[in-house]
Amino acid sequence: MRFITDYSYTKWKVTVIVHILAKKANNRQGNFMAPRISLCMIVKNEEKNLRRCLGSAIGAVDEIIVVDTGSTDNTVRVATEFGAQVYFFPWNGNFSDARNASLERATGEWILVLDADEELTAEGREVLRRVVQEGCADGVEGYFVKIINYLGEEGWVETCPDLVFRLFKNRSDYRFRGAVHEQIADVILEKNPRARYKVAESLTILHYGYLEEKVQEKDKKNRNLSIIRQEVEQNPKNRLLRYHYGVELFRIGRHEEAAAELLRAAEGADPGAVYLPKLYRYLALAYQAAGRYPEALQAIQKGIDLFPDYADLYYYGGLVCLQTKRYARAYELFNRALSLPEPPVYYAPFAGTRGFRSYFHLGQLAEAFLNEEEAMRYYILSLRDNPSFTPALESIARLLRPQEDPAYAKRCLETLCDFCTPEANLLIGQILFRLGAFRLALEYLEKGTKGQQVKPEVLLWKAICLMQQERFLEALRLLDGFGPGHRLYALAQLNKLLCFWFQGNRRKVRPLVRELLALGLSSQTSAVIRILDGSLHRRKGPPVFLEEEGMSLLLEIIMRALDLGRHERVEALLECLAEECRRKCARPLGRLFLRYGCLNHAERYLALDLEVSGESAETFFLLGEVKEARGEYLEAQGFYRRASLLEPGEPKHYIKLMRCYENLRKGILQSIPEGYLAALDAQGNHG
Amino acid sequence: MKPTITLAMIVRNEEDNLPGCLESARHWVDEIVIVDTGSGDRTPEIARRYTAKVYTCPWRDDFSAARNFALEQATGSWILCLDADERLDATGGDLRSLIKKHPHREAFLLPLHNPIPEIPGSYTRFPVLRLFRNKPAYRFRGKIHEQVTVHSPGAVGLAPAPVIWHRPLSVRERRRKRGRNIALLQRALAKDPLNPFLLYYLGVEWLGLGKPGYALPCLERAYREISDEHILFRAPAVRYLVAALRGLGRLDEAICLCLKEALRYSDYTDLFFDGGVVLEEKGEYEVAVRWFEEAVNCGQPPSHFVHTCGTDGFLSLYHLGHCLEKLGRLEEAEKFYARALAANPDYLPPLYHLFLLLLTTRGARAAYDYFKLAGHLHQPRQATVLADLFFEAGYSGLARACLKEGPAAVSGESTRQLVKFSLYSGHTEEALTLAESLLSEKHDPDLAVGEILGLVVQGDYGRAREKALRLWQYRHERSRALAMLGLITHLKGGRKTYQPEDARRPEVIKALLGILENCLCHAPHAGKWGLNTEGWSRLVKGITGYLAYFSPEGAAALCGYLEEKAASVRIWMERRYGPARELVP
Repeated sequence: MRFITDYSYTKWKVTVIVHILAKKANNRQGNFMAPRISLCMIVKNEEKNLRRCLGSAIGAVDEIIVVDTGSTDNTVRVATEFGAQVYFFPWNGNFSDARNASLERATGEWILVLDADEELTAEGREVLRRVVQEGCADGVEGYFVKIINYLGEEGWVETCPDLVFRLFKNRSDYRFRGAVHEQIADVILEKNPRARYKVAESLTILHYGYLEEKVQEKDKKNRNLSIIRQEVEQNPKNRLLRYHYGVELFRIGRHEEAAAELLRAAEGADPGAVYLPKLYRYLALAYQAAGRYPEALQAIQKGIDLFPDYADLYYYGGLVCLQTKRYARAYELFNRALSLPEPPVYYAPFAGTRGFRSYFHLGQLAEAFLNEEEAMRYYILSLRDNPSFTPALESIARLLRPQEDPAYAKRCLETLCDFCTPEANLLIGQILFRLGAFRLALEYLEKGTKGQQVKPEVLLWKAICLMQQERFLEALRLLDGFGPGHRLYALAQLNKLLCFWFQGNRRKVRPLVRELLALGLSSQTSAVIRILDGSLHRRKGPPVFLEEEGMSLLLEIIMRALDLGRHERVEALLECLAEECRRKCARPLGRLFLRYGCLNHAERYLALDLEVSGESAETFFLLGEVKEARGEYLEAQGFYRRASLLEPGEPKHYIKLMRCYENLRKGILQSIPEGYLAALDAQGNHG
Repeated sequence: MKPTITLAMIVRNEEDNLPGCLESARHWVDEIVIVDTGSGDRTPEIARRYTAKVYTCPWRDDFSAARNFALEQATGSWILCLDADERLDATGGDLRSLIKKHPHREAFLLPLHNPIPEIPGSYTRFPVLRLFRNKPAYRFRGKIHEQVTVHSPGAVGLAPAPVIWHRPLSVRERRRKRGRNIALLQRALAKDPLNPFLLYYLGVEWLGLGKPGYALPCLERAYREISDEHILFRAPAVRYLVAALRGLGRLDEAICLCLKEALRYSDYTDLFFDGGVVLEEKGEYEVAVRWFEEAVNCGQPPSHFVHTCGTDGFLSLYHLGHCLEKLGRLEEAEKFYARALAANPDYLPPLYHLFLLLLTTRGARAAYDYFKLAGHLHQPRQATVLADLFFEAGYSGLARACLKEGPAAVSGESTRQLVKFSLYSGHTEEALTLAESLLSEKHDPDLAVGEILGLVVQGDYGRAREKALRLWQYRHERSRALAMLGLITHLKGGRKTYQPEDARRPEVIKALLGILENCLCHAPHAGKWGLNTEGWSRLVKGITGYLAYFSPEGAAALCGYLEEKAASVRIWMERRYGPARELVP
C-alpha cells in the first residue's frame, strides 16, 4: 500500500511546523481583513490517523478544535502535540450532536470539517486561505470541496473522487443535523435562504477510511444502519436521508432492500439534486448485485437519460450486458464510457470507467469473440492507463500462453512492461505461477526475491516451480526449510509427498502420509492424501469418495501431474476415485486433459459429462475443440453447431464454425490431385 | 298480424353457391323470390327446388333495377336481401324475434362478416341494411352499391344478429370483381362526379388493388365530405384513409389522422389498432404499445362501426408481443404471443415469433417443453409448423417429437415430413419403414432419396443400390439417382467409382451438395455419448470424398460451398452483433 507513509520522522516535523504556525498567526493578528479558520473534528481512538490529518492542516488553519468522544488510546496526546484544543463529549449515538459540540467551541469566521482518516493535499493547504477570502468577498456561505476516496480491493488501490460540503461560515444557527449522515448544507439554506454555495475543486481532501473499511466491524455498521433507519422513519419525505439509507443497505449487502429504498428516493427527486447521479449508479449496482439484470439496465437507462455524460452508468451497463451475454450492447456501452470527457466531480466518478476498466472488459469481450489480438490490444491499453491494475496484466500474461512457449511469453512481457522493482517481479511471478507456467514463474520469483526477505508463500511457490521441472532435490531442500511449527508446514509436507509421489517412490511417500494424516488435517485433505498413497499400490483399496473441496485439491494435483507428463500417475489416481466423483467432475477433467493435449482422455470424460449432465453448450464446445485438435473438422463443426444452437448468443461458437469450414476447405485443397488446382484457380476458388 | 318475411334475391350463374344460401335462410323466411338475370347454368332449376317464385329479368347493367323488380314480386310484410354467395347465420338470434322485439322499426342493419383470407379466423364486420319493411318507398337506388334509403334515421335498428356471412373470395376473384366495380363506379361518377359515397367506394377498390396513390384523393374527399350522419361510411373512410397514407409511406400524417379521429370515436377499437400499426412501422414501439393496449381495452366496438375481428384481441396481442420484443421486454412479449395464440389458434405469425424468442432465450429443449405443456402440439397445424421450425433450426429430434406428440401425424403430408425428421434424427429404422409404406402407395422422389440415404447410413449398400437403380428409371430423377449410385460405389470401393464422368455433371454435384447441406445442418449428434453417428459420418465423408477426388468440378464446387458456409456464418454474426461485429476476427 503505497499510500501509507512512514511516520518515523513525524515528531521532528511536527515541532517545526508548530513553530511556523505560531509565527504566522502572530503576523496575521494585525490584519483584521484575513478571516480566521477553525478546523473542527470529532475523533475516537484515532492515534494512528490523527497525525497525518493534523499535520496536513496545521498552518493552514487558525485553530484546531478536537472533540473526543471517548478515546482509550493516545488520540488526545497526539491532538495536544499539534496544539489543538481538545474537548470531551460523551458519545450518545448521534454524530450531529458531537459535531455541533465542536462547532460551539470554534471562534473563527469559517469552519473546516475534517475526519481523522482524511488529510488536506498540499495544494489544498495553499488555496484554503484564498478560497475563504474570495468567499467573504463574493458573499459565499459555504463550499463543496473535492474529496478523493481511496478504495482498496484485492491488491490494488484506486481512487474515487466526490464532492463534499466541508467549509462554511461559522454562525451559531448553522448546526449539523442527522444522526449518521450528518448534514449541514441544507440547514444553512433553511436558516438563510439566500445563502450561496460554490465548488472549490482545488481544495482537495484525501480520504483513506475506505481502505480499512473491511476491518470495520459489522455490528458497528448495523448500529449505524438502525440509527439511520429510525431517522428515515421519522422523516419519510427526506429523499437525501433515504438515499443514504439505501447506500448503507447496499454496503452491507442487503441489495434488494437497498434497491427498493433508492428507487423510492429517486421518485420525484429534483433532477438537479447533487446526489441523484450517484443514486442511479447505486440503484443499478444494487440491482446488479441482487441478480436483477433487467431492472439494473432500466435504472441505468433512466440514469443515462438524465445524465448522458455520466461514464459510470455506461460502464456498469456494459458490465451487466457482459454478464448477461448481450455482447453487442456491452461493446457499445463500454465504448461510450471511453468516449466521454472528464465528468463533474459531484458524479463521484469511479476511477477507470473512462479508461482501464472499460478497456479491460472490452478485452474480455474480444476474447468472447476469440479475437486474441484485439483482446491483447485492449488489455495493453488498460494496463497503460493504470499500471497497477493487476487483472489486465494477468490477462496479458494468460494470452501469451507462457506455459507453452515461455521464451516468447517472456520476450513479450519484457517489451510491454518494466519489471524494475522486486515487487513487480514477484507479482508477475505469482501471476505466472497461477497460470501454471512454472518455468517462467520461477525465473521471476527468483528475481523478485534476490536479496530480499522472502515471504514463506513465495518459497513454497518456488519449490513447486522447481518440482514441476523435475528439479526435485532443489525443491525438497526448499521445503525442508519449513519447520514443524511453521504455519505452512502441512502444505510443505504435502508438496514433499508429491515430490516423491511423482517419482513413484513408495518408500518415501509412506512416512509422509502417516505424518500428514497424524497432523489432523481436514477430512477432505486426508482423503486426497489417502488416494495419493493408495494410487502407488498395485492392489487398490476401496474407491474413495471426495466432496467439492477434496476434488478441487485433487484436480490441482492432476494438473501438476499432467504438466509433468506423468500420465500413468493420473490414471492411477482416478482409479482410486469413486465412480460417482469421476462422473461429477467429468467436465473439469475433460477440460484439463484437453489443455494438456490428452485428447482421448478428454473425449472420454466429456462424453461422460454429456451422459451425466445432459447436453450443454460448454461440453459440446470442448468436444469440438478435441475434434479440431485432431484435425477432424467435419465432426468438430457438428459439435460447434450443437453448441451454437444451445447457446445462440455466444460468438465463439460461430467463430469456431467459420474456422472449421475454412480448415475443411484448406484440407481439401491440400489433398486433391494436382491437376485439379488449375481448374480451381480458373474458377477463382483457390484463396 | 304476424309479420311475414320475404327473401328477395337476384342471381346469375350461381349454381354452386345458391343451394347453400337458400338452405341457410329458408327456415327463417316465409317466402322466397328469386330473380335470374340471365344464367347459363342450372341456377333457375335449383331455385325452383326452393320456391315457385322464380322470375327472369334481362340484365341492364343496373343492380337497382333488378333488385327492385324482385321487390315488386314480394308479398311478405318484410324484405330480407341476400346474395347467393352469402349465408344467413341465426345462431345469435333470428329475424322474427328481432322484428318482434322492435315493433316500431322500419328497417334493420345486419352485420355482414367478410372473411379475410390472409388472416385465418378473422373477418371484417360491416353493418348493412338488408332487412326492411315491404313498402313502395323503400326501393334500391344506384347502379352499383345499390342501397335502400330509409329517411328517418331513428327508424333503423342496429342488430347484432343474425349474421350474414360472405363466402371467402380468392385473391383472383376479388381482383376481378374490383376491376369490374371500378369500371362501373367510374361510369357512375361521370354523371355524378362529386358524390362522396361513390368516391369512397372507388377509393376502397383502388386500395384493394394496391394503388394507394389513386385511392388517396378519393378517400380524402369522401373523408372530408361524409359527415357523422353517415357514420357507416365515415368510420371506414377514416380507416381506409389511414391505410392509404400508410401505403404511401406518409406515416406522420397517418398518425395525426388516427390521433384526431381517436378523440372523436373514443370507443373505436380498430382506430387504435390501425394507429398502433403505423406507429410500429415507424419504430415508435413504446407509443405503439399504448395504442395496442387501448385497442385491447376497448373490446368490440359498437355495431355501427366497421370492425376487423381481432383488432380487439389476437391481432393487437400479437402486435403487442412484437413491439415489446423490439423493446427488449422479452418476458412480456412471450406472454402476449401466447395470449394471441390462445385467442386465435389458427393465426400463426405469433407462433413463429414465440418459437424464435423461446429458442434464443431458453434453448430448444425448454422451448419444446413449453409448447408441449401449453398444448400447442395438439393443434395439428401448429404442431406441423413447429416441427418444421425445429427441423430448420437443426433439431431433427424435436421436430420428430412434435409430430409424434399430437394427433398431427395422421395426415399424409406430415407423415412425409416425419420420414425426414426421423431419418435425420437417427431413427433410421422408423424412417425406412414409414418411407416404404408411403412409397408403396405412390412414387415420391424425395422420399425415395431419403430411403436410399437411410440405407447408406445403415451400411446396406446392396439395397441402397437397388433403390437408386429404381429411381434412375424416372427420367427427371436421373441426376439424383446417378449421384446416389456414384456415392454408393465410392463408399463400397474406396477411390474407384462407377462412372467417373458422372462426377463432373453439374446436376450430380448439385444433388450431392444438397445432401451434404442437409447432413451438416440436421444430421444427428444425439445418442448416448453424442458420438455414435458413424453411419452419418461415413456418409458425409463419402460425399466430400466423392466430390473432391473424382472431378475438378466437384472439388471446386465443394470448396465454393464451404467458402459460402463460412461467409454465411460471418454475415449472420455481423447482423447479430451489430457494432460489436468489429470484434469478429
